[in-house]
Amino acid sequence: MIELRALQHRYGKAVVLDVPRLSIDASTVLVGHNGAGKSTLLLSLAGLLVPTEGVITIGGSPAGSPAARRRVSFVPDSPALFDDLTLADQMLYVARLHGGRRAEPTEASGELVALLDAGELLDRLPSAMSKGQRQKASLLVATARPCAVLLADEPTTGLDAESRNALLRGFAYLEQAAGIIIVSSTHDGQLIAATPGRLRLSGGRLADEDGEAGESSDQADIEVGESQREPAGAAPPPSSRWRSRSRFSEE
Amino acid sequence: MAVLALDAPDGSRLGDDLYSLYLAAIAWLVIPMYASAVAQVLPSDITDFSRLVDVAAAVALATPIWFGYRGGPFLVNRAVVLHELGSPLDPRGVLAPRLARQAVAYAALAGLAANALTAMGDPEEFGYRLAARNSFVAAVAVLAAVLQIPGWLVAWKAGRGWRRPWPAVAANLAGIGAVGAVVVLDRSLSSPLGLTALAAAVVSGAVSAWMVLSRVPVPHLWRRATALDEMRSAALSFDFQRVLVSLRRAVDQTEAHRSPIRLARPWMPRALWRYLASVERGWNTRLGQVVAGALAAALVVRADPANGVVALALAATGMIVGFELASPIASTAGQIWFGVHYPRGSSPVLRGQVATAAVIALVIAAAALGWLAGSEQAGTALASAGLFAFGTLAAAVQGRLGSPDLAWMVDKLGPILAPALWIRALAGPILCLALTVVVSHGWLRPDGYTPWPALTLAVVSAAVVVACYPLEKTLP
Repeated sequence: MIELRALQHRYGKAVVLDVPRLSIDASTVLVGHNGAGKSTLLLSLAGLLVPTEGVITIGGSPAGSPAARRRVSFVPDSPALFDDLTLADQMLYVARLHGGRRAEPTEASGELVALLDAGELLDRLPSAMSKGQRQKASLLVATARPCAVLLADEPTTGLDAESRNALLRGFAYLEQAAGIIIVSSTHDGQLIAATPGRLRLSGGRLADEDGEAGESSDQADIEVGESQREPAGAAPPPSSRWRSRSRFSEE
Repeated sequence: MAVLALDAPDGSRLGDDLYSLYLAAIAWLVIPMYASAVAQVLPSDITDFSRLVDVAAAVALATPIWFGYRGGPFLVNRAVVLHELGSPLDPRGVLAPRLARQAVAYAALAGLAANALTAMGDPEEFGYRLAARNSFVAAVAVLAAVLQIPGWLVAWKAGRGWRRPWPAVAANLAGIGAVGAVVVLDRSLSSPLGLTALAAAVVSGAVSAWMVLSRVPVPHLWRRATALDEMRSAALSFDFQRVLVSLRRAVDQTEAHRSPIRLARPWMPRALWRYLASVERGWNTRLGQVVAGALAAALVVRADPANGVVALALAATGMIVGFELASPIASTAGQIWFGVHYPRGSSPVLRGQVATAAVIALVIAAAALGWLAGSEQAGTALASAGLFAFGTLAAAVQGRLGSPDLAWMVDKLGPILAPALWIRALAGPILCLALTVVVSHGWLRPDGYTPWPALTLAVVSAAVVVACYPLEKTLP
């Protein structure tokens, strides 16, 4: 679904992202220290940052292109909500922006409202929500329209333990029931443990579990795909179902 | 406390709307007053001033090249970038209305400013017809200029993988060339040839904008929207240094104070100047504008231009212009924690306010001298200039103390500061209303024959005190 080739992004002379080759076909969590390049990578995938070099394709379309934007939905680290619309109206508006005048929010977003216990937020404006509630609202708005990939930049920031568990259940539902690939960045141990694939970034480069950055020039290709998922039918509860495994971590 | 007055419980931003309505009412007062003044046509053989305006208009048409490089006119929030521009809809549907609003707003502002400046120069000799002519030329030139900016924006920001919009660039250059040629050929922009060139510039600007609006780089808009969001967040957490850093990011200025044309306006840091941005208004505000316009027109029908309404119009124009200049400065530099928390010297930011205050003081002094010298003509012109300055002062008061943003922040800071700030925030509107009353009754005349000169002095002094008194001193 997501392909990166010779991706590099620089701010001035500083290289903040250097990924020679990467394929992502399953839900993946990006981990790493502050400044490791997680958000830069997510923004590049969302088409909101043009990398200095390299190619990103989402389902075969260049990131940022209209076709790629249709496939990708993005939950930024700081919620981007319309100030003057209630959550329900925002979900409806976003659904109709993508699906036309008669479109309704996706079933998945409706399920998420229940899973996140966000029913009481539907009639509220963002100004009447707490930080954690806005974070939930941001996720709900992002899933109100169809997408194949959900990018989430530190989605658990500002959430209490209960809300974080609810978010994990929501992510599990999106992946299992709606078939959405979720690529998120986080420092949250629970989310890391609950996500099938894991990519560690260090200094803008893919790194091993010890945090040692790989060489950009001769680094092996990385793939995070279906093979990393738990076998179907052996579905444990959400908290344990979202376990972490990736070919990269195994290598 | 503040939020109860400014934000309705349903979050409809009642305060913002009322404040916009207040400004719109004043703007609508200006236009019909000048329209009525045109009826008193005076002959004009002054061509030099028109020539100056023509050259300025031609130069204004070239400035979009730089403004495009600096990021263009669009100031949209993150939700709009993420959801509206990220949708399959044509981005032109999202951006074109915003561009049109900004173009019209800036054109109106330019027209009003040119009108006021012409009238201030020597109204009896220049005449209102010349003021109207200059106003029209300035407005159309600025309209064309704003329409050109997206073309230059996309041309400059066309990063890797983006095709540069050469047809739009060619259209922009054609518009600049047409107006420039008329000016170089020493022909007036108000002549049929000049009007044709101006029309061509507007059309070519509109065409170029339409060609590129679907290609305005979304990453650029996202970066700007995020930076502005961070700026607001930093202001709320007293992190003024981060406010400035975010501000520079918003205008693609990563290194401060390294502008090659900084000498053109050394009194104001570039980032702050560039922060001048339009305010999006809803349908309710626009409806309010229409109602206010109708009311203002009715007022003008009953008004006597001889008793000072033209001067009032000048003051109102000054207020609008001054507000536009003062509010962005105030929104960053004039905040209450600035003097306490900003880790570096405040002069780089505050010098804009200081310079403005100095200019205002000079104009007022000149007006007073002309009046004392007994020169009727000088007294008339300079007294008008004084009123203009008063309007600017009132605007500074408004910009500094009356912005809904500040009141909102005050609410966040707690009720201790709210009463004192509210009284001061209301001082600007109260002073403007007071000015309206005294001028409409003829107590304060622009021609040097005011019956109560002490009143003039008291009003202007009060404005000076309120505008210049350091807000930081109200802190506990």
